[in-house]
Amino acid sequence: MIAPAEVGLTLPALPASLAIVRQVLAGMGDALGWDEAFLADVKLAVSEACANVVVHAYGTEIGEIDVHAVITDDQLVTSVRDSGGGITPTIGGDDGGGVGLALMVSVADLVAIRSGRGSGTAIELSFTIPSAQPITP
Amino acid sequence: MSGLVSTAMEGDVAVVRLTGEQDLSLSHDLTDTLGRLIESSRDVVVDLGGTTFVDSSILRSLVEGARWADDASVGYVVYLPETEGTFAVRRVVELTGLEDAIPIVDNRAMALEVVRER
Repeated sequence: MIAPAEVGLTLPALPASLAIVRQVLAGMGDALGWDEAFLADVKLAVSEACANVVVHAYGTEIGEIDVHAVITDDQLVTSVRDSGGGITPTIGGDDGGGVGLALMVSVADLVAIRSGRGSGTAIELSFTIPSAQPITP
Repeated sequence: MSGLVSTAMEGDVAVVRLTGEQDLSLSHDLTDTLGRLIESSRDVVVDLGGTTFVDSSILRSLVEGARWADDASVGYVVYLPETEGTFAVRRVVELTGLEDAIPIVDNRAMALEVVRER
């Protein structure tokens, strides 16, 4: 079997899309033999990034979430993008809204956020795959 | 598996059962359910025994419920067993230190007992 090396999804920025994203990640994990703890962390972080889009990106408009996952050697790099109004990410805060970002930071090796007014937001999450199985051509 | 929020009375305790994956799509239902029960002075056990995933929106709902219960002086306990199925939930609880904000027990009978004593 050829392991999947790259997956891309475009979904409406709605709460119901979060479960679809997690199911796709679970499918990747099953195919590649990721351990349970690693898969749980990836699902959590990517789901939180997508939830951030659903809540903050488009206001009352319905936009899209672009989710991309690439596996190279022992690295999984995911990106979650929107084309909304841009955000100012914070950890903490009185409304607890920063818990999602704190969780992403807790479980990913690297969290990179690019956001600009009117140009949307991209959250890139990088993970080291434990006991990674090589991707064969 | 998509999630479900359901409520059943066990004696005088309202048991709010969260099954499957719980995220932003259900957090409003959970918050509304907890608010209604606590407003009617019901002791509440939140049963996470069949929960396979929670995100930060669900954590916020659970913490909000605990704050309301405290204000209303009603019992409020979360039941989270150490089963294989709850692995991802326990991971989030551990990462966030949720047990410092909410009483969490891993035995269902004890959860019902504890909530009646509060």
